[in-house]
Amino acid sequence: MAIITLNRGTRIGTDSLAHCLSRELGYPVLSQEAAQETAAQLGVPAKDLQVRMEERPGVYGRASLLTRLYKAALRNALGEAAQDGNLVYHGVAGGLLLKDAPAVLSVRLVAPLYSRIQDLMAAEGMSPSSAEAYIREVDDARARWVSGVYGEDIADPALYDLVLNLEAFSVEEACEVIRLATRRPEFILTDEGLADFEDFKLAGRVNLALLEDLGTQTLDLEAWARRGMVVVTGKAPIGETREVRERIVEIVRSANGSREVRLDIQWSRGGGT
Amino acid sequence: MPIITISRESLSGGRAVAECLARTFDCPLVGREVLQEAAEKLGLAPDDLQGRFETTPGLWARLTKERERYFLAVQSALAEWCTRGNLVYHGVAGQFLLKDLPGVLRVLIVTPMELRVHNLLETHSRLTRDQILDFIRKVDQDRSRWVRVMYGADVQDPSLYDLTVNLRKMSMASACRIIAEAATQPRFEISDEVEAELFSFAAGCRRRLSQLKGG
Repeated sequence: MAIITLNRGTRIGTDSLAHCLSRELGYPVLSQEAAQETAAQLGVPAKDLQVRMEERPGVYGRASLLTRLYKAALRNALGEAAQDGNLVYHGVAGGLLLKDAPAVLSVRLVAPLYSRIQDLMAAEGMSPSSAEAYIREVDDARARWVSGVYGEDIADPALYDLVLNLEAFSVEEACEVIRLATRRPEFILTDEGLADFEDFKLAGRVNLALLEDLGTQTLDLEAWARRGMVVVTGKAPIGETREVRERIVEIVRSANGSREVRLDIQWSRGGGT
Repeated sequence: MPIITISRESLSGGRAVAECLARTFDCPLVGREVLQEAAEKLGLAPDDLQGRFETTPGLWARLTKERERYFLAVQSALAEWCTRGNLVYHGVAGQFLLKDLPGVLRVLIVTPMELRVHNLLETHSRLTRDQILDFIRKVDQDRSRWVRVMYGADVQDPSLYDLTVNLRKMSMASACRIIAEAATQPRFEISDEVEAELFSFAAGCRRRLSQLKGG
């Protein structure tokens, strides 16, 4: 049992690999587009956020409400899509969204630029220079997106458990290597790991609800959970202590799976973001 | 029946992975031996050649012909090993020395800095954490600069390798098992055809080295 995240460069297909893994392992598949749909329903369409970040990176950086809401929505979508802790997700930053979840195998797929250029030329009838310019442009846009939203370098191999070069492996071979990796102890969800994963999902639900709520979304709050007990940490303004406290408790109690709530909040004059 | 090159950072734990792979495939594990054999081909002391290969290039970086001769000598020595069957190579520049050759799995091992610091602290307890960090960063910078000068490439670029394995969560045993699985995929099999290519490659290296030495 594991969650497999597949990240790729431009013109490197992951659909067939995701479906091969799903077939071999019996895991559900979630695409980035499907996960982003949940963010769009909350009023944060990815394309809109991307345009805003390109235009005003200082305003729509990692700390902005929209970006935090977008990440929380995606993280929540991934958690809810996993069945018993099993999922194949193919999208840009699955490993980063799930970095606190247990038994996540984060995989990046790469291929040399020249083979991607040839692929694009064959598929779209483009000239070599146009194909190269297009690939570089999309690669760069993805890198800026990951840097802006997550503060990481998308190409850094340290972010992934495995990087496979698809010039060296066919889809079937890559599928077999990844399938075997999920059988290693580090990527098997034990009963305790599964309980940790339920906590991860619960914390995700609470964090998303805190960001959606008009009374708490501007506060600097973060929830984590341990066996159903939710702890909310962060900062909030001292002038609204009772109202904010009651609102947070209400939000946590209404989250599916929460049994208990504790607040560890610094109340100060300038609390919040 | 694979030939595997393991590229790694210093203190990464990659050597243990290479040893495990050599045990798994019951094949030779070579690193410095290749440099020693290359030094013999050039009539140099092994330490001298090793210095050229492992230290920061300065003026030498601009001596193109000299550089080519050293590279060819090392490539030729490694090519001879490849003609003898299964092999795990954990020396310098395996991804470049055997670039584009069939039957070769090129692997990069990535290890978080914390783990590398821990590895050195275990054997050098008198050093402080800051001293160790400085040491590792210096070695990384030297290696990165060396690869950039020699090959115009970023040593950490995953597209130079067939497979990159990160030891941040994975044990050495798991990394070894996953690489072994990758190496047993049909395309890395040393078929008769691939073997013929390896022999032809070794002969080509010998020929070019001898031309350079005569030139």
